[in-house]
Order: sequence, then structure tokens, then C-alpha cells
Amino acid sequence: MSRALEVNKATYPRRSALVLLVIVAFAFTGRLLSPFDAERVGTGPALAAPDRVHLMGTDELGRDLFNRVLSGTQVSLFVGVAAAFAAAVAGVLVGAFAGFTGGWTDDALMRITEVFQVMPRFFLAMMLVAFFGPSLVNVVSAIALLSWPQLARVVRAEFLSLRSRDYVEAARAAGARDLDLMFMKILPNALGPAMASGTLLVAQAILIEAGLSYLGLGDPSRVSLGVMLHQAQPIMRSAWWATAFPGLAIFATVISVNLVGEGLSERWQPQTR
Amino acid sequence: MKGRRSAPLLAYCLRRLAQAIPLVLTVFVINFLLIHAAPGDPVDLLLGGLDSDPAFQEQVRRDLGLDQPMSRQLWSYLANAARLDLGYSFRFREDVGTLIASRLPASLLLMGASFLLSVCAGIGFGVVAAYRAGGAGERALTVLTLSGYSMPVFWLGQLMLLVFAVGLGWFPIQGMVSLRAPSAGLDRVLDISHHLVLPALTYSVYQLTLIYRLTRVKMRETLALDFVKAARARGIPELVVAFRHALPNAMLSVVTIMGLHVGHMLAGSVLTETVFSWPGMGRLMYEAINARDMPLLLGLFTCIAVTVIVVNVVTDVIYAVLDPRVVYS
Repeated sequence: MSRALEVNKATYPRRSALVLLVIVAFAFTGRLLSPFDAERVGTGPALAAPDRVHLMGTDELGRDLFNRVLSGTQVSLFVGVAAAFAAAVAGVLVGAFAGFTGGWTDDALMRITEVFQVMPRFFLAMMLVAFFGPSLVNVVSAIALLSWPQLARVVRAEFLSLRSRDYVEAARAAGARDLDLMFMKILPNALGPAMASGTLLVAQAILIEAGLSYLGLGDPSRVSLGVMLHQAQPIMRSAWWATAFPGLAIFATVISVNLVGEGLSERWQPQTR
Repeated sequence: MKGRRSAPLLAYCLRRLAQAIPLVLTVFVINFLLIHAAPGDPVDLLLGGLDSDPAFQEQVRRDLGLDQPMSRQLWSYLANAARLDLGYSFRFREDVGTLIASRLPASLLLMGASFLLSVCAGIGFGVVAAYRAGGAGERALTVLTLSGYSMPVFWLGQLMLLVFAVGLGWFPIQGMVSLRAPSAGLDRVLDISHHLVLPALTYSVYQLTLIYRLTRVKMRETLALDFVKAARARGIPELVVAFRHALPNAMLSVVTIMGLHVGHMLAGSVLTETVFSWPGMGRLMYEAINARDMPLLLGLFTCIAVTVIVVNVVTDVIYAVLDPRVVYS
């Protein structure tokens, strides 16, 4: 490949990781710039355009959009990371056992994984949240429950190729137990690809949460970017800022997570490019 | 030659269909579990919190067989599903099947239009990018497509509305027909097309992105193969080499991967229809969520999940038909 591409590969992930860090830091410290309560009504005039007091303007109830966007971003990040983490733990466990043991355990686990993979994720998450109630815990659990199969398959593939390597055989010959082999010898070498697809899961989880809350399935006790966008639609004619900024926050977060994820997967799976 | 291939192909199709049956059953079991595992009385849930007198509730309980033992209920639920009976929406006072069918044409119109758009544009851009690897145009397209799938589709729709409907006033804000000036005949077709532009553009971005990325990668791989070089050496014009020789080969894997993303695409259509108040199935789903209309929600979920399963089977079969190298096992 050309040199230009190599430069891209090396710098894009690092640069996007930096952008992501800035976003995360800003979501938690941005309040210092403009300390309004995100939930409070009437912090200023209703539908005020962005100015030096209300950095992103206000909505129809006079709530400060800047602080609402910050809180919403925190919630999005929490949902993304928590769901991806839970899915990663489940996926690594299933994938490790399936790949390491092989045989009928592998077959059975992979059949179950396939069933989960075919089911449309967004809609199943939607049904779970609609029936069990839209609390943040339910949203995170629903997304995690539907996201682990992707990771399980990645980890299983790594285990399949690693389990008969010489260094594993050597450890086995030296008397290492199966659990040691799995988690101390093989897993560390399978973590790279798992991290890469785990990062992409964070981005997907954030988008799913945004979609669910836009449709009216967000946790009503939290500020959510999806809910904000839903509320922005009736006032679109008079307040473009209510639509522009919450969406921009989702977009910036998701694209930087995606870029980091792509960088990681290019690093760990050179054969896919 | 053809006869020899068609017998195993038919067997393959049938086997693939048979594998889909347990998946479809799983969908119904999920529905059943949702109704019974969710907190609260199933009758309340199905009635959607409508205020109703206890006698009516009892009647519903008996009619739906909710007073029977669990195993019996699951059995009758599956039997109803097999008769394509999706239940009754107490909110809309209408059969769920009828409701969904009445919204289907609008959804199909939107999906069809944007699918056509994304296939043509995605493949076109993909082929061009495969030839111009490393150019500025390719880099711009790559950034654009990455944005395309990092953006919530409903926000993209809202931005379209902000710019093209509210700002420039080129397109209507919502709906499928103008209510102020009802039209007929050709005027009606034009009116619907006018309403269709923004939702179709919005909805096609994700698919376009996907098709573009896949086409670019696969085309680049295919263009480096020997048979392409041989075709060029025979003096065949490059356009013919690209579209008659290389593209069909590259499209094989594009078709399969598109099939795997159909669930995601349907999710996009629900969100798009909600933004633009497009009167299709997606909008119906949004209405069902906000009215807490559980029977309708279950019916819609069933349709969507079964569609996804069927599309998976169909793409596998298409792949088998297109690629003579597939071993039917």
C-alpha cells in the first residue's frame, strides 16, 4: 500500500483516541463553563438562541441546553461502556469455553450464538425495554444481552487458532490446568481482537440507546440525547440549536469511538484490510 | 449441466428453509416469554392500561386463554401464529394483521425507493473508488461514509428537515401526501414523490455507506485477479471489464453481507418513518410504543423478526445460485 495510507493507519487511531478523551473529559468538566442545572426549568428565557450565557441556547421550557447535552453525553457514555463491558465479559466467557473445549460444547454454544445473532437486535432491545420498563439498568442489560454474540465469535476464533500452538502445548506438558491455560496463557493473546470489537460495541450501544430513547423508550429520570432530539422536533422551526447540538454530541462521540475501534481492528486483524 | 446443478440446489434450499423453522419458533417463544415474564398482569399489559371494568378484563382473560395452564397457553399461542393470527389491538380496535397490512405499502415504497438509490449510488461510487485508490476523492468518500454510519439516522433526518424543509422550503415537513390540497391521478404521484425525497435520502445513507464500503474492498480484490488481467489482455474495454467481468464477482459477498444487515436496515426505517411521520409500519411501531399497545408491538416484532430470518435464507440461496463453486452442505 502507499505511504499515505500507512501514515493514516498510524495516526488516525491515536488522533481519534485523543478526540475521544477530550469528549469524555468535556462531558464531565464542561459544567465549569456554565453551571446551570440540567433539569431546571426557566434558567433563562424560553427558546433563547446560543449566546455567552447559554452556550447552546435554551429549549421551550427555558432549560439550559449546554448542560443538558453534557448530562446526556455522560448517560450515553455510561450506557455504551457498561453495555459493551457486560457483553464483553459474557462474550469472552462463552467464546473461550467454546473455542477451548471444542466438540459438542462448542457446537451447542455456537448454535445459541447464531440464534441470538439472527434476531434483530434493535427490535429485541426495544421489546425488552417496552415490556420490562425503560430504566437505565434495563436499557443497558437489553443491549448487553444482545451484543455478546459478536464478541463470542471473535474470541472463539482466536482460541481455536491459539489452543494448539506450541507454547500452549508446552504449558500443558508442564502440567498447567485447563483454566490456567485458558485464562493465563491463551486469553492474553486473544485480548487484542476482543478489545477491537468491544470498542465497536460501545459505539453501537450508544446508537441503540439514542434510537430507543428517541422512540420514547428512554429512562424518564435521566437526561438523554435521544429524548432531547425527540423534544426538539416540534420546536424545530424556532430553535435549530435544540436539534443541532444533542445530535452533534452523539455523532462526535460515536465517530471517535468508531475510529478508535477501526484503528484497533486494523492493528489486530491485518488480514481484513 | 443445468439439470445436474438444480437437484442439489433445490435440496439445499429446502434444507436451508428447514433450518429457519426453529428460529421462527424462537421468535414466538420470545413473544410468549415477554408477555408472561414482564412485571404485571398479562391482561393489563395487553389492554395497555386502558381503564376497563373487571368483567371485561375477565372476558379478555378467558378469550385469550390466559386462565389456562402455561403449557396449554404456549401451545394455543403457537397455533394462532400458525394461522397467521397476530392478535387484536385494543387501542386501535382493529386486528393487528389488518393494521400492519394497511401500513405496509407506504413502508415498501420508502424502502424500495431508497434501496434502489443506495444500490445504484453505492455500487457506482464503490467501483470508482476501487479504481482511484489513494486519491483525494476516495479519502473524501471514506470520511463521508464513516460519518454515514456513525450518525443516528433520525438526527440525519432532522438535519435534512432543518435545511431543506424549514430553511429552504423545498420539501414538505412531514407525511406522505399534502392534506391541504388533496390531489388525484398524476398530481397525486408527484405529490407523493415530493414527500418521498427527504425520507428516502435519509434512509438510504446507511445502506449506501455499507454497499459502497463493501463494493470498494471487493472490487479492489477482484481487479487484481488473473481473469481480469486476461480480459484486459484480450483488449476488452475497461468499462466492460469493470461491469461485466469484475463487478458480478465482487457482488457475491456484497449480497451476503447485505443480507446480514437487514435487521439494522429495518431499524433505520422505523426511525426514519418516525422523523418524517411517514405513515408506514415504522411509524405504527412508534405509535404502538407510545400508546403502550403491546399486542400491536408483538405483532410488528413478529413480522420484522420473521422477515429478517427469511431474508437470511433468501440471501444464502441467492448466493448459492450465483456462485457455482458453493458446495451444498
